[in-house]
Amino acid sequence: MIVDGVSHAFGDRTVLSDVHLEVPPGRVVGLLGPNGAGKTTLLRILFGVLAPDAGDVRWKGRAATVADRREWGYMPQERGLYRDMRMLDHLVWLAELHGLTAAEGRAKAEALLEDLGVAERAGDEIKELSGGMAQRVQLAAAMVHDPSVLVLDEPFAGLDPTAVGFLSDLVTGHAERGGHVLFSSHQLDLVEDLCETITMIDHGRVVLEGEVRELKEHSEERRLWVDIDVDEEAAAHAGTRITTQDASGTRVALPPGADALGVLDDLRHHAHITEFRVEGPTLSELFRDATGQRSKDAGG
Amino acid sequence: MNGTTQFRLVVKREVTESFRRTSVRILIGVLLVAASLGVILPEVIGGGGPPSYDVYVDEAVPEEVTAQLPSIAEAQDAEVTLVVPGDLEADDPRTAVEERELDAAILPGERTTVVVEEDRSDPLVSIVGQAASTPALTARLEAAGLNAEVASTLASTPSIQLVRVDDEDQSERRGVASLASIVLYFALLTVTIQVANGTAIEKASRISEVLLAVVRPGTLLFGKVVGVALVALSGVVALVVPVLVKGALGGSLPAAALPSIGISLVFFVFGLALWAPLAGMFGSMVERQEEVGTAMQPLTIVLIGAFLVATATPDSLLGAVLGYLPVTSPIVEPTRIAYGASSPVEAVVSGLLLVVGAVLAVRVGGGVYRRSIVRTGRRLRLSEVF
Repeated sequence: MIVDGVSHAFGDRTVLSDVHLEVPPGRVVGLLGPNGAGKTTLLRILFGVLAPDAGDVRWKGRAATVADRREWGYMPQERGLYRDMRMLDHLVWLAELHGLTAAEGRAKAEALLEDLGVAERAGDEIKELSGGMAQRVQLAAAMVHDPSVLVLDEPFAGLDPTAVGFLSDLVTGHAERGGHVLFSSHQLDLVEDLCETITMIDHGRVVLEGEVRELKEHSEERRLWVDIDVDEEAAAHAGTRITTQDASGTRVALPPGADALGVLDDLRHHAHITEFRVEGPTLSELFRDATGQRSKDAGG
Repeated sequence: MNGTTQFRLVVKREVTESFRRTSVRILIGVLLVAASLGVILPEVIGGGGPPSYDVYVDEAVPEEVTAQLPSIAEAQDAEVTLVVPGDLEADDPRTAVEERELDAAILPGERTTVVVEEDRSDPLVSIVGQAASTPALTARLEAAGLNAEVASTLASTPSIQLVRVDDEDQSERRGVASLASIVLYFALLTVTIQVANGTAIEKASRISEVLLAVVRPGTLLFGKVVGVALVALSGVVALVVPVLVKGALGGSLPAAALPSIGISLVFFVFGLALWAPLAGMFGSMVERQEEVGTAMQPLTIVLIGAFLVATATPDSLLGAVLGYLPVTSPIVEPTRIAYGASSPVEAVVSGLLLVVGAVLAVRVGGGVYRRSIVRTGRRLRLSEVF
């Protein structure tokens, strides 16, 4: 699935400008950016809810059709369900809208609710469910017709760590079965481990894209994290500087080409280190680098 | 999957989810019971016996009058209770009639006098009038050469029954017209609010995004409109069925009832076609459900205005004007027709204008809905999406 040069404006306000995005099968692709960057608008265009002013959405080498889009699954940001409907009824109805028979929809919905661990509450109305449980049903709604493409808009917003882990496993599983997965998020660091490929947008423009691993490898920025308190004098003695420090330990910057083990040796003279690791830049830092915010912050 | 199947599914959801709610089932049950009682009670209460009148006959009035009153009343399916002077609480018979202690009083004089309340239009006037004139008539017949027995027999011949057709018909028409305006007003108001609320909820909850990825905006909006309308129509049917059953079983119905039901249903359907898309349009422009009331204010003000005119002065010039306007005619015109204030030409022109208005509303409302439902973040102005 390819988003090819999509632009869109609401009146005089341009919200997307020549955006390009690829979602290959078997990969988890993150559409990342701050609130108001244009992520939701792009997803609406992807599903034909909005028509782009320029560019198009391509599927299997041609422009995506209404029939193609019916095969995809979409989970919008927050809610997205009739709160007064019973969980199972809702899923069966959505399955029928996607073209399944009522019997097929019921079988698929029951299986999904079982997998998601909410089968015993299939007859409950959505409004009676907790936030995390409703989010599971929301995901079931996106998957009830067995879509080849799964698109999730801010799926982790408001979820506790357990729910985030559960949802991440489902998303990864879908990709591992050869499906296409695209999700949007403004919580860049939360989804760091989930994304294999990212496209970052800001003010409607793509500011960074590629494989997460490659993007990090190409960055010269490295840090060494150790589980001790390091003071400024010790850091300077090791030829580095402190970037962050909290209750869990200290993070020091590794200059380009620096010997990480040499720095570690210097720090070991000040305290007993039991845990350490070399880190690349976070997605937030990559984003801030790509938008020039970090240099502005440093300069300002 | 084609659009028709999706449309059917959207309608089905609206109907089944509505009827799943206990409040809706109770409301329709109450309407059915109320309508049934409405058509049965008049038969039970009103058909309990002939009308009975308290009539004072002065002692100085010829005995013939007193003797004739019961038989004349019986001939007109009525009963008369004679009141004698000692039974009166009021100072005099005229005051007793004014204070409604008596229905009528027959007083002596050069010419026998009958006292009744002004505008009395029931058989009473005929009964006491005929009884009071009996002595004079007998005297004239005797003077013409008939013997006393024959003259008395002829003078006591029951007169024809007085039936004031026009007044009764007008009264019934007014009743039917009032009922039509009330039912149409509440039905249209309920549907428009339901459609606007439902649309706003779908937008606020983002369910619209999920659905619009699968179904066309028109399918979603008009599926909702038809679903909500069917539920509202079931309420109207609950009101109408007892009336139709009574008519089919040969019960007495106001002459204007059946035509009014048919005309009201036609205007109701086209009124829905006009109002519901506009309600969907306003519902799609808000960001939160709480804003629906404010957004819908222009529509509700027009509806209330139409209702007030329809109930208060359907035969006025204002009523005639509103009977032509498509936004008000679904309530005003059926009322005017039931009231007898509209001509056939007016009714046809009003209906045609309503159809044109409905077509325009579907196009405009559907277009604005399509543009608004995907614009989130704040309440939209008409100028932004028109």
